[in-house]
This record gives sequence, structure tokens and C-alpha cells, in this order.
Amino acid sequence: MSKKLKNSLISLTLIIAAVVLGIFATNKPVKSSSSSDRIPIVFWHEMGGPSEDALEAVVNGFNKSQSKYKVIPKYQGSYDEAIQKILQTHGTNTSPAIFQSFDIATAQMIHSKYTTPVQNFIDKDKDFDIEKIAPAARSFYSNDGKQQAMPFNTSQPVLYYNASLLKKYHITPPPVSPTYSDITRVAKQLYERSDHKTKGMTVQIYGWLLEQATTNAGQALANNDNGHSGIPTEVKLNNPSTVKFLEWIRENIKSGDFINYGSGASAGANQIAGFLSGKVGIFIQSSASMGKLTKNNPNKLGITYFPHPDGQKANGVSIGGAALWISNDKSKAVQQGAYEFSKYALSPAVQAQWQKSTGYLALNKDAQKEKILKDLYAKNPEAKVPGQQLADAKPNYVNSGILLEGMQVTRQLEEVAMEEAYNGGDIAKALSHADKNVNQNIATSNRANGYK
Amino acid sequence: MITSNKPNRLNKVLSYLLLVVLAVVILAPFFIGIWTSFLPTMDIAQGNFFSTKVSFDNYVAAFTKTPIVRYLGNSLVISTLTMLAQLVFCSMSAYAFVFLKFKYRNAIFILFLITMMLPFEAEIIPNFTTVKNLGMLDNYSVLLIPFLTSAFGTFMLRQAFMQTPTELKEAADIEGLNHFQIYWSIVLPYNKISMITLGAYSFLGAWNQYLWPMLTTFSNDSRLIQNGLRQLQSEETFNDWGMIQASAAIIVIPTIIVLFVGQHYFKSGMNEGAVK
Repeated sequence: MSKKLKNSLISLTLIIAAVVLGIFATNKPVKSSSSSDRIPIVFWHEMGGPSEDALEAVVNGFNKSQSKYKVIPKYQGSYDEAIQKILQTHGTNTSPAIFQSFDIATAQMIHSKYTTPVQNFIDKDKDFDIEKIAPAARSFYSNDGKQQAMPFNTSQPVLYYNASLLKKYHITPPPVSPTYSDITRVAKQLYERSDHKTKGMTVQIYGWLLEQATTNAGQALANNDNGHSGIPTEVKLNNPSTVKFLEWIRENIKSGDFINYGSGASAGANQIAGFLSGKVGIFIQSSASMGKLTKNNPNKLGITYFPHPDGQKANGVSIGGAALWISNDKSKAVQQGAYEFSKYALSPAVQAQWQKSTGYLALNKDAQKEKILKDLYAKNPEAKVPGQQLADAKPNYVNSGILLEGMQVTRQLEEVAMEEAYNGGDIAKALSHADKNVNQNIATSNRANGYK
Repeated sequence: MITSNKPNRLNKVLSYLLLVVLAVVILAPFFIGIWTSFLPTMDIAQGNFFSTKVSFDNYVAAFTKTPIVRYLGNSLVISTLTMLAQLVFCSMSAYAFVFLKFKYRNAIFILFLITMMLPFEAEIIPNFTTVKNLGMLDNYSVLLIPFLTSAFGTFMLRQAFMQTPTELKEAADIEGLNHFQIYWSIVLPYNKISMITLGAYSFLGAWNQYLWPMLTTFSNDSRLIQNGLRQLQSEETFNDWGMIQASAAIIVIPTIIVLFVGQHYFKSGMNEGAVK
């Protein structure tokens, strides 16, 4: 009896050992079967959900369009997580040939020196006209006069309003490029005329929106031209433009037509739920949200540019989203293949379909002539607005993004300051407090990275 | 009689009331989650939770449009292997710590405990470098090998084994049983409940892993279920919340089964002890 038990125990241990050893022995990275002698191009991306389907359609299109390369798309989690994986696996055989990295990691990517600027390939390529790509998107990912990465999924912050409600209460819609007071007027009227049933507006506690407000007012946040002419050593959140933006929100909070959905991911979802069910009339969000606002929405949707301060011209906002970067730890042939893919992804027909299926903006000027987009605009004329805002922006250092490492922390601190301002705290004090913390963080990070 | 009963009854009512409130607070989000998994996405997006358009569409979409079945399979394999390995290795080391006498036994045990003081997140960077250099990235092995044993499991089973009456061990020694026989036919059956508890604990731990598999796997072939759930959400664009809810509900089912089975054994184990 006990011998039997002993035997079975030993065999159980052996089985586990065998399984573990077996896994060790067959320890090769899981590979998708690439049948022919095509060069495999591993592509890391962060597009989950429906956007992943749209991205896979782009990849399949590229793989069908030529027979030299085979792009293998691999999902890597959220933008933040993917950055760490990309930086940590660089130089190993698991690292990608081309990857998608989000807007606020641009400085980190440039400084890592792990990538080959796409400019190197563009210079050798006579077929590709970079001028066709939206300049505001290009300038975001260029440095030292070189295109560092190919802008890809791109969005713009825009203002959405419930056009049906405005019509119902006979309110004149805001102009296409509204000022703060234009929006205040609409929000107040909506709140009053709906007998306080519908709140006028909301602005999510989201650092990106605060940055965009200062950008649109023509104010740089970080020194050294927002990091475009050198590594930034200081930010100045406590500036007249940011104060004006927060005062505008405060004014609406005081008159009761403002609703605060807080910060974080659920705030975004709640805000959209509130907008779709007619509880709030105006909100500001990425143009990439448009898909869910037009689909099955019983109300008519209105879209304007990001609002700007009264008495001055809008400087234009910077883009959001992500770009395609080419790793420099792969062979020349693989890098060339990665470039060919990024070029394909930006071709007019692909970009037009991309905008239709995801809500991200088509970056190629010729995409506007494609039938897919013309049909889309015929059905939803307001869908044109974000693209127009992008085309209108004349790129300068202010609206080409902030080339600052540690933007994630900076945003958190910005959001703390916003929260304080929303809750009635002293605006200037909250902002200078944020300045102090951000600058401390920048100093530490610069020292750790060995920047002077 | 009646007067002496009154405070008792009041007590009972109050404690049941408290229990009901707590049950509602804890269970309501769970049931709302299950309920929304039957609703169309548009109703969820509008916050219209009393919609009557209930259907299984979301579940069909989750199974047909996403690789969730593959992820479930991956998670099931990894969790089961982790659980079995932890049961074997933790019980063996615990046995050694309790029934074998060797030099520095307590010192080594304290070393074991020290590894429990560091949260796993704090060890991620060195662990990542190690598995990277071993070439284990993006493979089942990276999800399994670091978790074959656990200091907590050893600690828990050691405490349980120490409760085993010394008379049993002495009787076994007199019978001439060797260590493997004592381990297998006396210590393990006697501590069945602790083993089941550790099994459920390690299975759920492996099932709910997020950060480590997210960092070390790169492709759908080796992705685990919790990361798969994250993959169903997009970054800035449209989300199919109904389908995501349905997937979340599907993912919860195995953990509930494990808990129910564990609870059943737990109860029967307690009864056995009472009869003895």
C-alpha cells in the first residue's frame, strides 16, 4: 500500500519535472508560421478592441500588396506598459522591428537612441512626398530638422455639443473656432432654458486638456521652446493662459451650468454617458471619440475647434495619439521593410479607411479626395471639423508638443492642480505648487539621465 | 420571558439588517456587471441600465470575434500547473522545516520569510532582466517557472504541519515508515484542508496575474486571460462595453467554481474533524 503511494508520489513529481523541463527544452519564442521566404517584420502596437481589427486590416493589406516582407502585428498592452517593454527588450531577439509609441513618450524615444529616424529612409525614397502628410502631425515627431517617427493614429482635442438640444431651445450654435465666452454663452443658455435639467458643459480633469488650452493660447509650457531646441529644465504652468483657462471653468462652475465628472478613465466614460443621455450639452475630448458619438446617437452631434481665449487668435492645438518608430537593432533589410510598411500605412486609401473605421484622423492630404471619406462627410458633415483644425494649424514650437521626459508624472500633477481649482482653491497657488513638483521631478530625471 | 427575549430579538434584527446591507454593498456591483453583460453597448454607454433589450449577443461576440478561448486555455494550463507545482514543492519544503532536524533550520526559514516581505512588484526589474537573459521571454516558461514555489505557501503549510500531533509522527516512526511514507500517508491527508486552501489560493493567484504576464509576453499565442481582457479595450476610440462585460463575466466563472469546490471540501473537512 505505502509502496504504491510512494510510487505514485514519485511519478507525480517526475511528471511535473518533465513538464517543466519540456517547456525549457522547447524554449523558443512563439512564432507565427511565416510560410515563404518573406522577411518577417515584427510590429508592436497598442491598439486594443475595435481599433485592433482596423489595424489588422492595414497590416493584411500591406502583406497582400507586396511579396517581400511579412508584417506580424503583436498587441502589447497600454501605451505606458508598451514603452517599458520596448525600452527593456531592445537588442534582444524578441524586440520589434517597428513599434507604435504614444505622443508623450516622444522625448524618451528620441533620447533613447534606439530608433532610426524615418527621415533617413525618406531621403532615399523618391516616390514618397512627405509634404502630403499634415504638417502639425509631422512637426510633433520631428527633432533637429529630422523626421524621427512616422505619425500614425492621430487625434485632435475638439469640442462636442448636442446640436439637437441647442435647436430645441433655440440657441445659436457656437462658431467653428469658438472663444471661451462663446462657449460660456451657449452653456448658460442651455442650462437656463432647459429649466436646469441639462447642465451646460463639462471639462474633464485631464492634463492633456490643460496643456492644449495653453497651447491654443500660444503659450509654451516648458523652456527651451517646449524642449524642441534643447532638453527642458523648467515648466511654467502658472502662466496667464493657464490661469485664464481655469478661470473660465471656474466662472461656469459658479453659475451652476458646469458639471464635474472628476478625473481618471471612468470620468471619460461617465462624461460620454452623460452627453449621450442629454445630461450635459458640451464637452471637450479627443476627436477619436467621434465613432461612439455618431453611432446610434439619437441626437445630432455638433463639433467645433478647441476653444481659445477671448481677444486673441487661436494658435492651434497639438495632436494626440501615437507614431510608428523603427528600431535600429535590426538588419538593414528589416528596417527597410518597416519603413515600407509605415509608408503604406500613410497612403491615401489606407488613411481614409483608417479614419472611417477608428475615428483617428487621415493624415495624408490626398485621403480627403478618397470616396470613403467623401461619403463619410456627406453623411456626417461635422466629421470634417477635426481634420480642418489639424490642417489649419501652422506648426510652431508651441503646438508641436512638449518634448519632455516624464510627461506621465507631469500630467498627474497638472490634474491635481486642476482638481484644486475646480474645488474652489486659489488657482495661482495650485499652479505654482504643481510647478514646484514638476520642476523637482524634471531636475531629478535630468540628473539621473546625465543631462546637464 | 418576553421581556428577556426582547433585546435578543432586537440584536438579531439589527445584525441581520447589517448583514443584508453589507451583502447588497458587496454583491450589487457584481450583479450590475453581470446584468450589463446582457445589454447592448449603446444602452451601457448612455447609462440606461433598465433597458429591456437583453440578449446573449455579447457572449456570442466575445467567443467568436476575439481569441478569448485561446487566452482561457492558456490561463487554465498555467494556473493548473502553478497550483500543482506549488502544492508539491511547498508541502515538501514545509515538511522538511517541521519534521527534519538540520543545522540552521530556523535561520533558513527566516530567509524564506524575508522573501515574503518584498512585494513582487519590487522585484520586477531584476526578475525581468533574469528571464530576458535566460531567453524565456514570450513563452509559457516565463509565466510558470518563477512561480513554481512560493514562500507564503511554505510558511502556511509549515504552520499547519506543526499542528500535526507528535504522537502520529512517533507512531509512524515505530511502524518504521520512512519520510516519504510519513509525508504521503500521514501528513498530507491530515492537512488536507490546508492543502486545498493553498491550492485554491495559488490557482486564483495565477489566474489573476496581470503585470508580470503583460510585461513578459508579446503575442496572442502566450497571452493570459486578464491581459486578454485589457486587449478588448481600445486606447482612445470606441469601446464595445457590452462585449467587454460579457468577457469579464466569462473570466470570473472559473474562479467561482474553484471557490465553490474549495468551500465544499472545507466544510466536509471540518465535519470530519468534529466526528473524530
